Amino acid sequence: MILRRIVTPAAVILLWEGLARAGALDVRFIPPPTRVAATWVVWVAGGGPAADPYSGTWLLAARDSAIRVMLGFLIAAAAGVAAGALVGWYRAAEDLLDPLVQVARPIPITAWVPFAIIFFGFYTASAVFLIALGAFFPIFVNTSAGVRRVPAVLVRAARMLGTPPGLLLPRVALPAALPYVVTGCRIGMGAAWVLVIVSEMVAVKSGLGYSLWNAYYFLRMDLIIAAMASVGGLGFLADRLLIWATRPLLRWSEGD
Amino acid sequence: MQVVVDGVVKRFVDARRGRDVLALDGVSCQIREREFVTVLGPSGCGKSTLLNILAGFEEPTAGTVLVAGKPVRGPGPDRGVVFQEYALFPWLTVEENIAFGLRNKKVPPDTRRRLVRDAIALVGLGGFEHRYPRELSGGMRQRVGLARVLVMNPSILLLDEPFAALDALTRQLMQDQLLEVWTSTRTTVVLVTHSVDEALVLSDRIYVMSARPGRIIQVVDVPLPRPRDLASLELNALRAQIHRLIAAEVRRSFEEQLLVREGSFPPVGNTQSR
Repeated sequence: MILRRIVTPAAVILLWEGLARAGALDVRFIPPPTRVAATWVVWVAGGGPAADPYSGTWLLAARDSAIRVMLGFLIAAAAGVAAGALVGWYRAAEDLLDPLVQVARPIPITAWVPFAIIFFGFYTASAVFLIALGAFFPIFVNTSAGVRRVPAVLVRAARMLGTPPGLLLPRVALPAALPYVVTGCRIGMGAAWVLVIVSEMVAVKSGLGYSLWNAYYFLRMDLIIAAMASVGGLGFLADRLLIWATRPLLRWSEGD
Repeated sequence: MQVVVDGVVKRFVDARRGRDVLALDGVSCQIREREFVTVLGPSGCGKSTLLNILAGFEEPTAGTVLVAGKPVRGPGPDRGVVFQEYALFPWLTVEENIAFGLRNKKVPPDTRRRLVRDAIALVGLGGFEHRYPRELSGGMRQRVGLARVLVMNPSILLLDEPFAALDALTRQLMQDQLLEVWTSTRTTVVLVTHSVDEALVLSDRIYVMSARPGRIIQVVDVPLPRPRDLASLELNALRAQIHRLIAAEVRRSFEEQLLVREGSFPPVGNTQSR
């Protein structure tokens, strides 16, 4: 099983290396995997040519990006779950909030960049704002859908057992919607990693996205690929972490 | 009288077909304390609607419903409902499901634990306290459904086809257990079912309902000691009588539906052929 899972990525990397060595690729623009790996080692562990400005800076960049992702994601999760639950449960909240959210949702988050820079400057706050905004929508949409789909018979049962109407949302609808909420959070977490890179490319002067964009000015394609792989790996880890952390909450549901 | 239903009418608006549906048409009955009463009728006769009105999930269009002398205003733990589809909270364990109503009542933890333990013993779920509903068989789920209302000490139990989704053997076991519970707790029971045998084995009295619009067409007393033998002469005679009644009802309703459907086409066929 595990062998079958790594065979395709391994084949792609081998093919890529082979083509580069055979001269079929222009290694100025598509450096071979061995070059990328060597660059990555220097970027993470230091050393390498004395003039390499990236030497040993990976951890700092990854830390900055990760902190922004976490802050933005936490804000998005808190706001998305709260607003989504209200909109899914209360008709009045749906009438008041849903149209605004549904119109704002299709606007690409990148379109907010000028506002982010004007209001939050070239700082972490800008990135956190963009990440929170982008991760909010999937969490909101999934939570409200989950709350809307709570079986009516469960609500009846809860009322029959004396649940005050005001507590039906926290005691019945929200727990019943948890699988949806977690799915929304996973999608939101994915969006957060996309947006941290975007915001660091254009607005904030540190992090993996900044390294990546900066490397482009020097045509350091090896470093760009190493940065891309770093984001992929960290995003994957964040998703695994989220699944692991929410597992105790979902033990009751099918197919976990 | 524990339950008084007087002239209850229920009319639904069928939005899809854009017309009213008369589900209950002047239903009246009176149920004494500690009686075991069954409402029996074909599918769609409105028997579940009647139960929902007693439970407070739905309001009658006309008529009055009194439970323990008070008009029904919304659902409450004094009327424990057991649902056909169990309606357990899937994110809670057996123990937590049974404690759900007690938490609402703010029963102190010590008392709560004791009551939950007693209820689990009463329905025979010992050893399954920490399982989730999806890990249980249908029969065991329904025992949780029963336990979580019994623990609230209701004045009346409302059972909405509680064993309809179970296999025949499990159903029989559950009926026996229900009788045991009823004997030991002595609550009033209103059971809704479409199974004539279930009604005969369990109840003091059977209200036989007509197909839509739902009316009570016959009241059958079953003054026989329990446990009852379905093969006995008395029950055979009652079964035959009830089957005849229901068969006639189903036939009538089916013919009416056919008439309605044919009537909805304009009668052009005959004129054209002439």
